[in-house]
Amino acid sequence: MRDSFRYAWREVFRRKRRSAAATVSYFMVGAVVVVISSIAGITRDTTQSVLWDIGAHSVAYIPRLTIEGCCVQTYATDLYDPDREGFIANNAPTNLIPGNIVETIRQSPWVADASPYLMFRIRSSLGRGEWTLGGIDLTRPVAYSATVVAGSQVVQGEFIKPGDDDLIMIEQEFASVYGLEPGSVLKLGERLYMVGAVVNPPLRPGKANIYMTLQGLRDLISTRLEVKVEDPVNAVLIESLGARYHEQAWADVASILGQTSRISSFGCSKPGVIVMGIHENTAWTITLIVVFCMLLLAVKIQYSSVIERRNDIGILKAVGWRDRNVVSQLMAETLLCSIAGGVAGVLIAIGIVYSLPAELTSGSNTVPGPFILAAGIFLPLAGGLTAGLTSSIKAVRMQPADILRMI
Amino acid sequence: MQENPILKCSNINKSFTVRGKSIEVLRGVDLEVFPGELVVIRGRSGEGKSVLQWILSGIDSPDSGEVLIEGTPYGTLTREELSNVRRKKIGLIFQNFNLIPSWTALENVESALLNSGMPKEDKTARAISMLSRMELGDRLDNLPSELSVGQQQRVALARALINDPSLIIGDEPTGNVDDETANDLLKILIPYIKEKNSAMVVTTHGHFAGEHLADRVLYLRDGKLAGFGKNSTSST
Repeated sequence: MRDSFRYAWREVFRRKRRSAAATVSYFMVGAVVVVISSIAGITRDTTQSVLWDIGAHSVAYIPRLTIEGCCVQTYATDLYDPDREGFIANNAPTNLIPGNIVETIRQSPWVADASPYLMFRIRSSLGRGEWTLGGIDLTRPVAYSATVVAGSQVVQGEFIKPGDDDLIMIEQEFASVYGLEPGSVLKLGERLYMVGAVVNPPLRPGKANIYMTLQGLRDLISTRLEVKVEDPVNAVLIESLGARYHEQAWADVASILGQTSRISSFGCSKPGVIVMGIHENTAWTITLIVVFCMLLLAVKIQYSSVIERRNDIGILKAVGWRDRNVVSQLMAETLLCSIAGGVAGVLIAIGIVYSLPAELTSGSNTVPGPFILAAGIFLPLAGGLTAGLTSSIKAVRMQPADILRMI
Repeated sequence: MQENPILKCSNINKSFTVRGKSIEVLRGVDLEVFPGELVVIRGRSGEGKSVLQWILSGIDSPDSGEVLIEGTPYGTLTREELSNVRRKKIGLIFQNFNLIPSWTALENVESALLNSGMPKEDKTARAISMLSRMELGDRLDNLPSELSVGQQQRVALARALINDPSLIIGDEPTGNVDDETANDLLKILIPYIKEKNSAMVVTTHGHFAGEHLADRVLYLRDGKLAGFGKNSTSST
């Protein structure tokens, strides 16, 4: 075997053109596999990054008309005016939920984050009608950004911060109707609040007219109901781990809040998951087709190389080389060329993938993963060895006389 | 009492089918070659000399008949055993030398020792010694294309003799070289055969430079071998 590698090494360098052709072909196999797989992977990941969060947001609550449920507290809900003011979610009266339940929901493996939410309907201080107030736990942006309002949706002013209990944010349409802007003062109940920002969130499960800190809304409600409201909330903002896990998250939340709970969500996670699946399958299909084609190319290269060396094989067999000596010599040459080509191909491919324009990758991580890199080296190697083995076995099975006759 | 033959073949038949037509090349060839013997087989082109040579050296097989080397029939050997026989007992010299073009003179000679289990240093030393004996000690690292025809022939000869074979089979071994070079080759070959008590079978279509030194000259005609000329003796 040592002889085989020694002579293979020399042969590779002596027959530079043939070795270069074989090595370049293996290089192509490695590089194309890595580049195409990476691009397919980036496309899939980019698509998923867009679709992943679709429909992954929801607001859970327990409707007021029911009295069952593990965590219903009624001490505060009995004090509200059901015709005008009170705790609501999705335009329906709700029961209160102890704040520590939120932490339990957060522990679900399918939930990325959960945060307490208060939604309260209050009579307008500027005429007829009611306004909805949303109290947000500002320390939980993952949970509130997609379900209620995000910092990026500020139209005017600045998004409120934790502790800004006297500031409110108002919806753009609301601001337009009442002629409000940052700096305006609005009376809610018996207290005055300054408008900190005008926001324009799209349709969200926790949409309200006015947003404020969770503590700020608790204080307002406590004044309104003349009962200190400290811990309970009437809704939980939930960000599931992703569209694909949304239903599992719902099931967990339902088991924690009780079967009477309701979840308000976009409901578009299912089509999102379907599209993600299509993209993932497409990416894998493209990769498999490329791998198959490249493997065929490697087989063809190696086969041609062995056919080209048929004369040498005939001579060596005539002077007493055994079949396994011939096979190991050819395999050693294949091994050297395919490893050199595969490794070089992978290195160049990393450079190519790394330098892909940002528009193509949408800012995704462009360094190929270890699986793709391993495939970039393994496939040329496997293709070369398979082809080398089959073609050299065929070559050694030929009678040396048949080969020598053709020299 | 006569020695046992190094090579014995009996009733060798070989035919080829060309365009659906069967051509009988060898028809019942019998031959015995004894130690220290130089046997020349003459025949016109296309008479089957190369086919006979390849059958005698075990790189081709007859349709029927038996070839034995030192009493061992080829037909009973596995492919691997037959390869070992070719490596250890038979030295082949081809008309067109059949050197590996990308290997140096040293590597071409060493090729007959590769994978033999011999330490690398010993193999190299032995190949260098053999090439030096062929007066090619200063051309070890030259490729065949960098050597003259005579030098290539000597490299091929060194490769054939490197394993101290008991049988040397040559196909027009002096056919491509001038008389002077042919004589130089014979000066190496003939003493070698006598010294090692090995045997040599040479096929030629014309004049073999060492024919006058041959113990027997046989003629291959119509697929059969027959004794011919002053040196001929019955082989069977």
